[in-house]
This record gives sequence, C-alpha cells and structure tokens, in this order.
Amino acid sequence: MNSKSSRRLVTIGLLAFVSVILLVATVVLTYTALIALITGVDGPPQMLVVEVVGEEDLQNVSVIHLTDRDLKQHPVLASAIREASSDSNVVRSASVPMTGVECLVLTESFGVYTVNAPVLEYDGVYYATRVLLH
Amino acid sequence: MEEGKKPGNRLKTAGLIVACGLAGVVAVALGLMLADALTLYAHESSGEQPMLYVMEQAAPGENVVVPLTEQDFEQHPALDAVIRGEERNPSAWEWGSGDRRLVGGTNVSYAESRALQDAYGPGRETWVYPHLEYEGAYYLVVTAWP
Repeated sequence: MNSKSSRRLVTIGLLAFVSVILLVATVVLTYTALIALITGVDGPPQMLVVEVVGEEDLQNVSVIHLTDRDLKQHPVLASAIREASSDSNVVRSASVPMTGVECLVLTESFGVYTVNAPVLEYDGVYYATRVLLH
Repeated sequence: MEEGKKPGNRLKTAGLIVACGLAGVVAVALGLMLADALTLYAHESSGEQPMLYVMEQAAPGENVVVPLTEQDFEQHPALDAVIRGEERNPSAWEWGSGDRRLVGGTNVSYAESRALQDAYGPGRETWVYPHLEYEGAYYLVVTAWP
C-alpha cells in the first residue's frame, strides 16, 4: 500500500514536472509569436524604394558602382534591384521591406537614407534610392 | 506514539516542499531552454539567414573599448572573414554619419548571430555597443535577422 502510494506520488510528480516544462515553453513561444504578430502587422518600419533612372538624371549626382560582392552582402538591395530591373516590371521601381539595421548599413555604405542620395549603378543600369518610413 | 511521529513527518513535508520547489525551478529553466531551442529551430528551418555586419568607427568616443584577440577570431570565423578576410569590402567614409563606414558583411547561422550578439552586442542595461579595437581601428558588430 505504502509503496503503491509513493509510486503514484512519483508518477504525479513526474507528470507535473513535464507539464511545467511544456507550459513554460508554450507561454514563451505564444508570447514571442504574439509580439512578432503585433509588431509585424504593418510590416517592418522601413521600406527601401529603388527606381530605375536614365542617364539624363545623373547630372550633379554622385554615382556608386555596385559590384556582385556588394549585392551579395546586401540581400535587401539585391532583391530590390532584381525586382526593379525585371522585364515584367512596367513601372521600373520596387520597394522592399528592411529592418532598422539593414537601413543603417545601407545608409553608411550607399547613402540610401541621406539628402542627395547617390545613384547606384549595376550592370549598366542606374538606380535612385529612397527610404519610406511607416 | 503519535507525538513521536510528528517531528519526522514535519521534516518529511519540509523536504518534499523544498524538493518540489527545486523541481519547479528546474522545470521552468528547462521550459525556457526548450522554447529557445524551438525558436532557433524554426528560424533555422525557414531557409533565410541572418547577416553579420561590421562597421568601423573613426573614434571610440566614450564607449567601452574591448580589444579583439586571436581567440575572438578563432571563436568567430565570420568576424575574422569580415574584418581581415575575404568578406572585407569597406565602403567610403562619405555617407551616413560620416565618421562611420561599413567594413563588410557575411551570412551567418541564427545560432552564430546570437553568439555574436551576446559577445559583442550592446550591454543589456545600457544598450550601448562596445567598440572592438583591432590594430588601431574601432569596430561595431551588428546582426540583421530577416
């Protein structure tokens, strides 16, 4: 009788132990998911806008020549340029969401979020950039 | 007889409560670790990769300066590749704040990006980034999660 009740106690204890682990994990995951959902409702706070421009728009503007390595190191810029220059894109511009860190890094590298932002050139095509804040 | 049992029972009850408390603490810690591991697994399975970026600052200002050692580079090969390896691709000092430039960037895993953030990210109380000093230059390490 005694060993039976202590065995039951051990079983209940183990169940409670596992339940607490699962409960804590569930609460943390739900909280994380909710935070992501709430902050992600309007998308990331910045959008990188890239627009194809003609050579006539290059007067008095600095031009930065992009390399393949630049695009590899800046996936956001790469996808914006790819989208803007794709043949199916009639308006020849694209806006891509980016995080605050990516915005900072692109600003320090290519001045995307500065007054008189430079024009970027890749593969013979010129791109003007700007940043939209939500 | 009844009175003689009481101190033993009390001790047993106290021991049980302490054991339950300790088990509870361990269970909570394990739950947090499980959630962390699941989050990391979900990110790793998403197919996207975070980026490690290193920026160079002209002067350290009043930030904490931490010297980078060979051990840092051994522990974080991505940092090594960006600061002095094949991923070094410095931009001009011209844009942005003017006293800062990008040194380079590379793909890292989520686990590695977290390890880099823990090691070289901002202090948890001050939220100020330390400046990492290597051969007279000052660096900031940031990571971008997609």
